[in-house]
Amino acid sequence: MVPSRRGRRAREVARRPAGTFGIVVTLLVIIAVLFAPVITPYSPNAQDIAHRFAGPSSDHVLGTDDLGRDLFSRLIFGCRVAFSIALPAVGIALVLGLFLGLIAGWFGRLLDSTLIIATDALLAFPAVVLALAVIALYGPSTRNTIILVGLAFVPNYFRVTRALVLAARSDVYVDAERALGARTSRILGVHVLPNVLPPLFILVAMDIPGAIAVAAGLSFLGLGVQPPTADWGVMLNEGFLNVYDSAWPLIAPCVALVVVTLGFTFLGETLRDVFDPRVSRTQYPLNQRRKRR
Amino acid sequence: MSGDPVIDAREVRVQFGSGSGALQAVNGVSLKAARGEILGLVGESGSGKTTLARAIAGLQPTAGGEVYVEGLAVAGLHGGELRRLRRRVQVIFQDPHASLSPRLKVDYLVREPYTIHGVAKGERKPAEELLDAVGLAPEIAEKYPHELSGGQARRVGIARALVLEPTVLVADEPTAGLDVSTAAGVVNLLSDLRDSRGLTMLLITHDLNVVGAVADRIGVMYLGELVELSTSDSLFEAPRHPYTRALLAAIPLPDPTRQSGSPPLEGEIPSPHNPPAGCRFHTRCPMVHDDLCATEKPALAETDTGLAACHWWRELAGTSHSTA
Amino acid sequence: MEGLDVVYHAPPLELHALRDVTVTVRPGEIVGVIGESGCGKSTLANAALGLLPGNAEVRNGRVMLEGTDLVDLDDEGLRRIRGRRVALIPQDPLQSLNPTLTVGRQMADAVLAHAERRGRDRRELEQRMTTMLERVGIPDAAERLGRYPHEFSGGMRQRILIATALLLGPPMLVADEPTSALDVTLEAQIVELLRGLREERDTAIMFVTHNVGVVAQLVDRVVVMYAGRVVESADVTAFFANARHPYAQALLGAVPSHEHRHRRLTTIPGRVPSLAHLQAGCAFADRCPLVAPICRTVDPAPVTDGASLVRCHARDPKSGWQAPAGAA
Repeated sequence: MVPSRRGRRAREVARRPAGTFGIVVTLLVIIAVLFAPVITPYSPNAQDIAHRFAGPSSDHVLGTDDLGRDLFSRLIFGCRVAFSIALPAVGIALVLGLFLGLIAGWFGRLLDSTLIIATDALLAFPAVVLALAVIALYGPSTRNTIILVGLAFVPNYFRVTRALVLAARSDVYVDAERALGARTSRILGVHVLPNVLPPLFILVAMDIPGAIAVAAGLSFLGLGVQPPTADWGVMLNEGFLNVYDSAWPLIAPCVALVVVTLGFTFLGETLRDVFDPRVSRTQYPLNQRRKRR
Repeated sequence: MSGDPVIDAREVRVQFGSGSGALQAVNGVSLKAARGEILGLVGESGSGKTTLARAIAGLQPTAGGEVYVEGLAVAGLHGGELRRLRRRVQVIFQDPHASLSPRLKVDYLVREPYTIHGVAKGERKPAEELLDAVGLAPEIAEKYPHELSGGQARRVGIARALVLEPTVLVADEPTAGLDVSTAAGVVNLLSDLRDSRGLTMLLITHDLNVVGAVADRIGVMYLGELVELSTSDSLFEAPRHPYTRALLAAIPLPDPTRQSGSPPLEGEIPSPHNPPAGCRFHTRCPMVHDDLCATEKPALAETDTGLAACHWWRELAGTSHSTA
Repeated sequence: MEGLDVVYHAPPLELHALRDVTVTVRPGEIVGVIGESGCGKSTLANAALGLLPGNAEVRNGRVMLEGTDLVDLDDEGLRRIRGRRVALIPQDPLQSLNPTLTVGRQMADAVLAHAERRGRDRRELEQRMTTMLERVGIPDAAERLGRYPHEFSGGMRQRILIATALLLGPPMLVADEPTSALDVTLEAQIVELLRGLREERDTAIMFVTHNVGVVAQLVDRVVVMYAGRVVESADVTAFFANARHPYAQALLGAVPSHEHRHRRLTTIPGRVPSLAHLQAGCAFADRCPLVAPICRTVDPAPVTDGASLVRCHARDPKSGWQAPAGAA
């Protein structure tokens, strides 16, 4: 008997080193986000000027920054901030992109062309230029950062969804459902959507690090999250300015960004490989793969 | 033909594209099928047989002509009316696996027609019974489509088509892609279904052997047109169209003592975008008479055996060619 | 091929694609290999070309092509043999031709890969290709060399592939389901073409297919495969008149025809066994109408009778097979 699909897939992911790394990072992130107040020895904003620029020690695991704040605590809370921006942003992108992609791909024609032109226009602007324009109008803040990053990612989800829906539209099983008399809403909801979602989820896993990076970049430039909030981008900025006094305030957020970005990217890529239907499955004996006419 | 025809297609035309680049996939085809009969439709690539079948099933918009199924006009139906039609005419698609939604279990797929049409819970048969009707074991219900063999997937497709107890079944290449022995099982099944349920079937295939074994009447299509229509016996024993005769001669017989001679037809099927003038078959016809065949398209006329679209069918009657 | 055993490695499974397979093709002979999915006929075709994939292991046996054992050859040795001594006519013409290169270029590639001398005369090459295309029935051959595959129809593409296979005049051709993707009238043309080739050039052809009718019309000898073994092999007339293995009989009975329309088609209960989990005894035992206890414990040995061979206890007088109650 063929073992359950989910169980098999989970093992496949764990089997690859990149996947394991990704899973570990994800778990660490989850712990950091959920238990930040519990695992941090200090409040992220607690100043201690007397001990500023301290190196790693038993008091401060990673040292302190220019205002004597514990870097480790700021890092953990920064993780929370990063995800509180990235997750809603990608969520907006997913929901909006999915919806637009569905209607564009399914109903086609004028609606499709209009949406394509709109998203192409959005893609034509580099994210930073767009950010500058919007910030200039509405002022920098966390909320605006989320919206901006979300919008920047919408075209991707739109494109992928639309392509999948277009392919599904001409797929035989859709025809078969029509032949049975199914309504469009049913076809879309029960048959097309489940086939469209998995690739999108993988995209989500891979876009989260991207969103974090973009958000951090904006904050670094002062256009996103504002100090004194403990955010990795903000920390990068502060660390950069004070690097001659101590390297630790710069190193800490750098390493965090790299590890988290790599971890999620690996996870996403591994998920994509495991879920790719073209990758041969070792559990199926050769004689069940048929040569079609 | 006794009783009203269950399928009545009149001068059906189907066009793809528009303007000068338009492709006439089906060019004015008329045929009828009586209750309980298996009407075979054969032809090679580009013949339009699949397109015609889809048009009859209401899956393909037509550019002309009319289709009536049990007296109900197919064209121009929408919404609720179209759904009612669907209960009467069901389709079995060519690729056994592709017609099954990949992420759903067989159990759900086979009972979905009930949900779609809002059949009362009390009237729904359990999945095991539906699968049993096509000779599948109950365990199949728990599988996903990609876990099924070609033959099993094909039978699930048939089971789905039968759930609503249609009166007409349109089977598009039911044996394509299947092994010989599996295909035999499907052919037997279709024949049994006709006998047990009185289904009317439109059987589309390129395989003359299959229609020869199972169909009551057979229509031959070439480049979007019906070139001959007669009973199975008449077609095989006394074809009245040179294309039919060539097709029959081309079938490789599983009998080495009766070798086929030189290939009955040279050349290739002309492009459907640019069909030959006059009789569409004249460019490859072994008995072409230049003057008439190239200029005037023969209408489907009555012959001694059925219908044939050839100016010279009487010549064929003279040399009755038996391949039986 | 003698006693060939091929195993595919797909961890954690091992698939026994070919088991003790012996097939001989003589010059000017056409041997038809028939069988259904999972019987190993594609593996057989690939082995004849030395084209087994990376995860295949030849555990036993030899593949002798004009005296050279392909199993022993390395990549370079195989490369030199392919095209020149044995060529492939593949199944799907669309997928076997590169859509971005002209036909002439692709055909030339086949020859140039084996060029002995540098600077082979281009005119001469074109002349050969043109002649070959004409021979396979493509009109305006010289002009067609400059065209791309998508400009040809399916039947034409298949002919181009045949012409390419013939360019170097190999004594052996392996045709892997060459007509499966073609309409029946085109199939008849290709069959005629292959017959002609056999007459003209004494080419040996191994014709792998699932189409029983074509086999009857074209081949000299029939080889039937099931679950990686050759279960019957006979001269074509003898085979169709009197197939002996129960699987072969069932196969012949499953072919529909107008002539026998009143007879119900034979079907075979059960499914082809998994090549990874073969049980002891005859692989066909679970599905065979003539199964007896010995069939489940002992794998039948081949019984030869002149040119015919069959692996079945029921046909082996020395096997101790007992007819089950009420069997033929």
